[in-house]
Amino acid sequence: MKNAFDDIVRQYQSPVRRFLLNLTLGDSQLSDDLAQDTFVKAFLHYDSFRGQSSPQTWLMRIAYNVFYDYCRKMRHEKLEMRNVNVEMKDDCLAHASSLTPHSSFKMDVYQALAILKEDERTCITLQLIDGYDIAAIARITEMKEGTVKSHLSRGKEKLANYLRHNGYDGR
Amino acid sequence: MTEDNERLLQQFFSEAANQQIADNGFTARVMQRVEAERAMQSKAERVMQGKAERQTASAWQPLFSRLWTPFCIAVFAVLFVVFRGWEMLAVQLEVMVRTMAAQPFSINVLMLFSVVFGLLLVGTGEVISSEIARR
Repeated sequence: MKNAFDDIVRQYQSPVRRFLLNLTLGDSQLSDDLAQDTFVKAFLHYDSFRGQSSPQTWLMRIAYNVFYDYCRKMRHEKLEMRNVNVEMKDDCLAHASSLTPHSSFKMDVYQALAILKEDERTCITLQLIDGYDIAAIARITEMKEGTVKSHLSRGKEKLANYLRHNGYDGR
Repeated sequence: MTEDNERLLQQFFSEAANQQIADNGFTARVMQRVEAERAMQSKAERVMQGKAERQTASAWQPLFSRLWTPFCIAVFAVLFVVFRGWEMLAVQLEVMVRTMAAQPFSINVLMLFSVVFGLLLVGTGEVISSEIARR
């Protein structure tokens, strides 16, 4: 089982880490910690995976729950998520130059995602970056499909306005 | 407008959508943590198993306490019938009433023995119960 799980981690580490990296607005240390928690939880509950969804969807759902547990814990410690977002954004801006050759682009993405509410960001990330359809997003987040649609609609409207306001026209 | 927004956002996130994150030892770190969690889990399971065993052993203690009192009563009842206790009590009562005026204080050896025996029986049970509870 250990070897099989090793293969699962190797195969799905990239989408899970990318998803968490976007949710944490580019905080690579935090997203890696949360990704580790995700895979450890997945290992501990591996027996409960019945193959009703793909392993990646199952892992994304665990990752989403791990992230929200973290957010709840932060709120519990009297840290407003808004402040965390600002900190994340500041960290992102501070470390933008040391990320990768495409760091300025990433910074733009994280800055754009930072204007969204948590649920909007989750739905937008899952659809536009990870490529899930509305039904899969609803399964991952345990939201109703109608709720997902309204988060997507509001989030896209905000993002499009933000991008146009900042001179990005897609050309 | 919605289609424009959609196209704009698809384009904006296209690079992020294709981003692949290199492993860089991540899998190894996860497997290390998995090993540690598994070791912790099996240790916790052993502790729980030990606790369950102790609970099973201590489950006998309230049963023993519950059974000891009826046992004492049963022994007393059997002895009372075998030795025709009611006759002894009647004789003792009669003697006591008749001699009450003349003999203000008398100690009957048989009665004293019965009381001491009863107290010893109940006391022993209590001592055994408390010893089991301490363990």
